[in-house]
Amino acid sequence: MARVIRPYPTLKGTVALRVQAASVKGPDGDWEHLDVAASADRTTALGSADTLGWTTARLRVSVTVPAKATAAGEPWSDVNVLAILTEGATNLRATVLLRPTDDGTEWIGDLDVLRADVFHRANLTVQMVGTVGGVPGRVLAEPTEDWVIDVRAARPEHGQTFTVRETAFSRSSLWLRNMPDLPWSINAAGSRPEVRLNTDMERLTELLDAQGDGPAGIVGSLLLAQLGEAMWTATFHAALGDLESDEEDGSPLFPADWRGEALRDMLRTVLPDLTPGEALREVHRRRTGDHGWGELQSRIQAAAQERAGLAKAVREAVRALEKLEREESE
Amino acid sequence: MDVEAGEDFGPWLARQLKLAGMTQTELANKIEVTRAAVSAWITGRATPRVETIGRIAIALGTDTVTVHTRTTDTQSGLPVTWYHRPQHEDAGRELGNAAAFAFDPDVEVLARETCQNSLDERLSASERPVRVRYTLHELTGEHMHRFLDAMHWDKLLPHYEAVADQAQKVGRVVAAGLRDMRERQRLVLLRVDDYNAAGLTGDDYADGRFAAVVRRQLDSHKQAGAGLGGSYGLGKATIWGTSRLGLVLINSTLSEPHEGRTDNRVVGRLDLPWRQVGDQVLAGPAWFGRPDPASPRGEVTRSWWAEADEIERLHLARDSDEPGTSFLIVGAYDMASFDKRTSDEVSDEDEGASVLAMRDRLLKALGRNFWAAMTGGGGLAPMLRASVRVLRDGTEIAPEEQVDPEREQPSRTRAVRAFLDGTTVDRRTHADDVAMKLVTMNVPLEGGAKGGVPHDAVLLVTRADDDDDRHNCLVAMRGNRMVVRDRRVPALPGNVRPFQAVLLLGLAAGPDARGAEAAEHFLRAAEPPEHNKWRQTEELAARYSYSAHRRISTLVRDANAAVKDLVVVPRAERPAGGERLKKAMVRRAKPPARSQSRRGAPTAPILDTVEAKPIDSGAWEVYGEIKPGSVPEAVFAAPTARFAVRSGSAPVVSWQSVEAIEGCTWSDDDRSLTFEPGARRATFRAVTDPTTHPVRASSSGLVVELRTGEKEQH
Amino acid sequence: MTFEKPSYIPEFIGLLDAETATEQLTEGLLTGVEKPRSLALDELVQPLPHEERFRARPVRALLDRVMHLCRNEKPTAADEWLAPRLHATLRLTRAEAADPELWSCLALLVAPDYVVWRHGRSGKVDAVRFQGPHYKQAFARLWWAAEMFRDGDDYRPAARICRNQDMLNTALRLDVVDHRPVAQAVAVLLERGVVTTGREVNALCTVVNAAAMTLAYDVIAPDIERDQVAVADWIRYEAVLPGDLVLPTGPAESRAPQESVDTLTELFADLFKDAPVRDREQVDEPEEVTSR
Repeated sequence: MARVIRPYPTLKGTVALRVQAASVKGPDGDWEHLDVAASADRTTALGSADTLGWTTARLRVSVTVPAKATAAGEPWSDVNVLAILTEGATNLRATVLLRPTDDGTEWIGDLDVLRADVFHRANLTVQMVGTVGGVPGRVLAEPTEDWVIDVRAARPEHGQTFTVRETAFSRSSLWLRNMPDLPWSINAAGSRPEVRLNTDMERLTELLDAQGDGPAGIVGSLLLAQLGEAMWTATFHAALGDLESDEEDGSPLFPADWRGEALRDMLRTVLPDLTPGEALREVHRRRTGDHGWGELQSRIQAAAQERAGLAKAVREAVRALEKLEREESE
Repeated sequence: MDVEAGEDFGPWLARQLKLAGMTQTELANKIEVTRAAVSAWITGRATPRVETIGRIAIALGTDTVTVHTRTTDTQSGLPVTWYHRPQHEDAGRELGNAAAFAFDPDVEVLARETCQNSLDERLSASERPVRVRYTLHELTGEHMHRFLDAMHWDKLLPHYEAVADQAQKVGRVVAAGLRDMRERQRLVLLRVDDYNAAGLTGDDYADGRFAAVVRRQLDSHKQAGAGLGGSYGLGKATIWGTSRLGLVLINSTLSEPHEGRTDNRVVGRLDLPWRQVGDQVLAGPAWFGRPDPASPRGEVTRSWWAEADEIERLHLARDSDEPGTSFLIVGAYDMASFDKRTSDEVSDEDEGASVLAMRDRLLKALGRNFWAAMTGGGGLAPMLRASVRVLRDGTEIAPEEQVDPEREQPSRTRAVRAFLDGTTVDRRTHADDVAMKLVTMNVPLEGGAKGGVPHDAVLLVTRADDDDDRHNCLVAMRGNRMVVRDRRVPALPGNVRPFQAVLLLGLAAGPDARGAEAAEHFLRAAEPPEHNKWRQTEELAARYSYSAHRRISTLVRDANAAVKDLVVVPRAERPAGGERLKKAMVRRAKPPARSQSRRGAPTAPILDTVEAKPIDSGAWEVYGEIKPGSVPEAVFAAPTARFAVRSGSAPVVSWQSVEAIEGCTWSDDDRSLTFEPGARRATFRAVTDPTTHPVRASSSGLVVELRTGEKEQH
Repeated sequence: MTFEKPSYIPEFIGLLDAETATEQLTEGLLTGVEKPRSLALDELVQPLPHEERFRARPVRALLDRVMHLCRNEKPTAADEWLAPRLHATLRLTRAEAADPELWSCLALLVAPDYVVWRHGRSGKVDAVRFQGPHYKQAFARLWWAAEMFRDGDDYRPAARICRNQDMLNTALRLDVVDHRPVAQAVAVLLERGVVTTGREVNALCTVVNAAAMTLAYDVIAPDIERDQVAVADWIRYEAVLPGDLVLPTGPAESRAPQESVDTLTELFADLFKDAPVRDREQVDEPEEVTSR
């Protein structure tokens, strides 16, 4: 979102948050302290817990704020720092007031969250709140970057978007059963986009994971790039199809979930000269309007290719192929 | 007679006679006793009667009390002066090979050398730290001359002038130093004091700390005893090397009495190359002290027990009678502080600043190398405290600053403190946790025997801090907790969270650690004079075997492997579709490079700056600056205002008025701004219409954006 | 347009993935011409653990009952009655209720006829009523309205919210109501008649939503921590609903602190005074808001 200007003085400077430690409580009441490796990349992967069926997670949240936050002579008083965990899917809102350490620049607290209250990935953020001009509870500062609490993932990855499923298409749901020869299929209809790899296709996953510049590696890189292009194109179109519009002026809104992320990502390349909001309006106009949609396709495809690294994959494939040919002729 | 006094009467009297150049017979005659009686006193077989003491005092030109207490020497000796060692009969010219000038002065090297000596000489019976203080003192004009007079500069100057004429590096350095003093009337003293250390004990010439520092050709002196040794070794040349005059004065308070005394043992040493002054041909070093009547021709000078006013004039006064040593480096300089230029080219301002620059570098160097020694824990005080201060003509210009290991090396200090406190963990679950693991080293046996002693070294790993200079390093140290080895851990996978690792070896692993003593001895033998690594050394080969150093590479390899065990995230089971696909699917954090925009097409205007505040009418007043883009006249822009929300639709607010200020015009019909051709900047002021506010301004967050488009072509 | 009750109703509710569900949402189905292919679909349902609470029959019975009770009224009137009872019958954790595949299964396999009855008055059901976000899907919206607006075990505020379609459609989608005292304060304002018309409701929601950018409701009107034991016990406990005229009892969680609710009620009422509401006097019958 663009910068929000508030009608009172706010705290300038960086507010940074991180999860210092995470633990989960098992059904027997024992706490398991997760390895620090569970938190990285602004994400805590609670799925890394060894405890099955854990019921509660406890997050040690640490926030650093500029020294001005609690300095004397600033326009605010009664400063509090609040950690907030939210998830759109479960309407979760769990909060805890943090307590300041000695010099008031670091605030720490434990936030508890129930496993039953989180569907998949919850967002952790903080608000610095204080009294300004006699009005209590004013929001003074928020961090620029949030933190993700993933209750399923075994390793922390902030930008995770797709899920992957290996499945035999011949024994799959309705329509895939009729297309048993497809190597993969991308399903962008669900709550998370999903890539399905056809295990009926022998050696497919092996090729996709092949390393090095041997024949398997070359083919694997190309396949991966091709799959990537398909993924990005599919998500872009799927996301664009479910847009809600602003009740005020009818302009399309970015969806709150992965669709919004995918759109923002792709639009930067599809219409690089426009602001995200303008770009979304423009593609929506072309898709629902009379003309311009067809012309946009090549741009969408280009953006997907760029994202998938297709050019690099082809370039490297050619180089590796030449090397193989040289070796054969020698 | 009081036999409980400072020093036994016999040796004291013998020294006073020596100092006064008086024979036993001469004294016997003066005080009218037999020579045999004097001899009996000196050998301790008898003591003089009370009335005789008075006569002895008169004969020695002192008072009765001095003879009774014998805590000072009589002043009847020869005056303090310089003694320059003449060239050996058989020696050639040792051109420019004074060890002091062998390398560029560097206060980091000096800091390492001096603190390491102080740590080794720390009075280990006490649990208090050894305190090391660095004082940079800039003397100018009168202050400088008073100091020079006190150390008999007139006796030195001819020697410096002789050396300054030489073409070697020494000549250039000395010449620059002299010019600095002459033209700019300025001299920098760097004093290094330690307290709660052994002090320079022992005889002036025989084995002992004093001789090791003052007499040897800046060579190695080995001290027996665990945890010590290597002190005042080859590295001590760096102390002289930091002086552009090769000149260091020393005042030491001894932990064990010498000649029955402990306080203010003073001596000076000059390290210069071969030179000819008048008809004298001189080999190199010179000493500042009291002529020793026992020496050949009575010329060699030796340390003396200085009086309060003497040490004051020589800038050698110590803070307390706590044992320890003060080195006064005369004409101190630091090549690295000179910003790569030669000292000759440095301007006044630079020189003035260089004292402060040297201070900063000292503080940094102390933090970088001795953070562990300065860290306490588990109820124990740190081994070392270090501080730096700066004076000019006796007035403080930078107050004494204590090096704070926590500030210099926050994460590593946390690691060592956790070890000392016993709060380490096997597996890190909290970001600030310190993981500990034992790494076993096979210490070779002395004399090349087969087999070895197992030593459990302590490996600590903790998260890196933003304030650390480098991440993912393994630093290693032995008993004195000085950083000896500091290398990055090689071949780490990409998903490692930044960390710091510390390897505590030998006595640093704790006195009870398995094989600690053996490892400490071994590593000391493997430490070169620079103390910056462990490797094959002559001593190692001689005491152990030629292959003994390989045990060190094995240790390093094992330690690196152990670090990886602690920091590398174990790969979760293979994700569906494989690792490569998983990686390919992670949304890229950074957008790809902005693609080429359509050639010739105008780029969109950008809202560069927005300021806004609520005004009395209940409206928001907005000021905005726009960058109109490449072809300002071909585009239009309409500022829009909304009230921010966290979810749902952000309500739009209408403008009551918009006023173009610069570079543009506002049209009420189009409700948009048109830019002047070629405008680089356009500014406007706008006021919202409060009747369209869905909530009053004082409870709203305002977002101003720019709607843009290309103008229709006519 | 009406549907008949499906001839086959599965014993347990399961998960129906979005892709399969989407394929079912043909023009024919949405316009009431075709019925879902229940038996074929049932094979594609991913089963949930066969716990009593996932049994389809009690939910089905509830829907039969509401369609009967409201047979002579506008179907919108059913929401107030159904929401608390659906919530009390279908006992789910929030994580379970967040899964759209569960609601798709309910809509396509258990009660497509209800979806058409409730949302098909215009001749065509919006596809999002079968499969869509929690504030749109035919069952999810009711379950979540009850979950978000109940005050501990008291379903009355939730029922009150469901009486007003604008409130149900607008408030439920805003993140601000995730803070319980906000939801309760909004319900109080509705009860007191401070807001009644659709425009007033929408204006109030905008006020509450916009002011949240500057005021931390969590701090000026704190809630108490969730009582995990009460909710867990309640979910385990088999639902037995009282008669048609008595509201069921929800999980024995503590209610939102009265002081916090009062603080926010006062604050919102005050902010709302200044809010521009077009034609404040005009009372318009809340209508179904068609999506998009």
